[in-house]
Amino acid sequence: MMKKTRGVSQLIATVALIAVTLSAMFVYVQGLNQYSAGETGLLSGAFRINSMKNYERVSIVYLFKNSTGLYILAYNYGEVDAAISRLIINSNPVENGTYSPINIPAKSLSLIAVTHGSYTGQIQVSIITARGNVIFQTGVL
Amino acid sequence: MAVHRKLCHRNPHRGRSLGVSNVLGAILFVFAIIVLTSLIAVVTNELSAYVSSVDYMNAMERDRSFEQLSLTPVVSNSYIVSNITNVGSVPVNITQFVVLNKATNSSVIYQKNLFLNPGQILFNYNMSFITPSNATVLLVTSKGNSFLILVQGGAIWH
Repeated sequence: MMKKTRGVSQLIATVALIAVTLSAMFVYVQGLNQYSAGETGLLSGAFRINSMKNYERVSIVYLFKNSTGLYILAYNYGEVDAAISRLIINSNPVENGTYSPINIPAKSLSLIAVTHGSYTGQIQVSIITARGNVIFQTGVL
Repeated sequence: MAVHRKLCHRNPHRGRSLGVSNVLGAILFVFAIIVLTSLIAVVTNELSAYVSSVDYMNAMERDRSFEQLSLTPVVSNSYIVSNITNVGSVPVNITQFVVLNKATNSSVIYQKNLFLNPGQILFNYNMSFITPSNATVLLVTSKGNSFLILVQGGAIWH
């Protein structure tokens, strides 16, 4: 009776050990597989996406308008390129495609042209980047 | 000794079973150790990179807040000349001059590379590239700060 009990226990323990090891190896292989996958890796992504977010620094230098639209002078003083995910003016999202460029290369000044809408007086501009940074600026046109 | 005999008596196949179990267990244990060590190494490496990025962000934003320039622009021989003084506590690199022509509402960006240490003065910097008589001139630094000169009717507006 005692022998049977010990045998089953060993079997369960072995199966459990194999299951745990295989699970850990699966995670390991997945993690290493996606380690070089940039900001979306299983293990690295959680930290790397926030690291890249910190390295992305954008400031709105100036706002002006003319007959062709509103212009936003934005400077990327960070280490990585910034991509604009959403532009919000006076609390209203600006439709994608009505402003360009979308990408602001690192260490460069970009003139973002907004060709849709008419803006006068005091305006509030928010740039939301693809990494989730928000840059806010107010100005008077 | 008595205990040993008792255990052997209970499990007549003890020697064989334990041998297989030990080898299997050892292999699985080694696998598990390798996996866990690798995981810890990867996560630690990424965490270290994240901490570095936080340090970078804090240093950048701190230096950015300490950047300060003093401009004393005057019109001389129809050109704007200005003393540019770094009155902040960190070095300043002026990377762009942006000239916004108020008459045409157009803008021109001039790439520059003026480096000023704290307290350093750039005497009579000639801004002959500023030709419009009504313009907003922005001196943009490498840390994203901007400093303004307003030209109104060919004169400096204060």
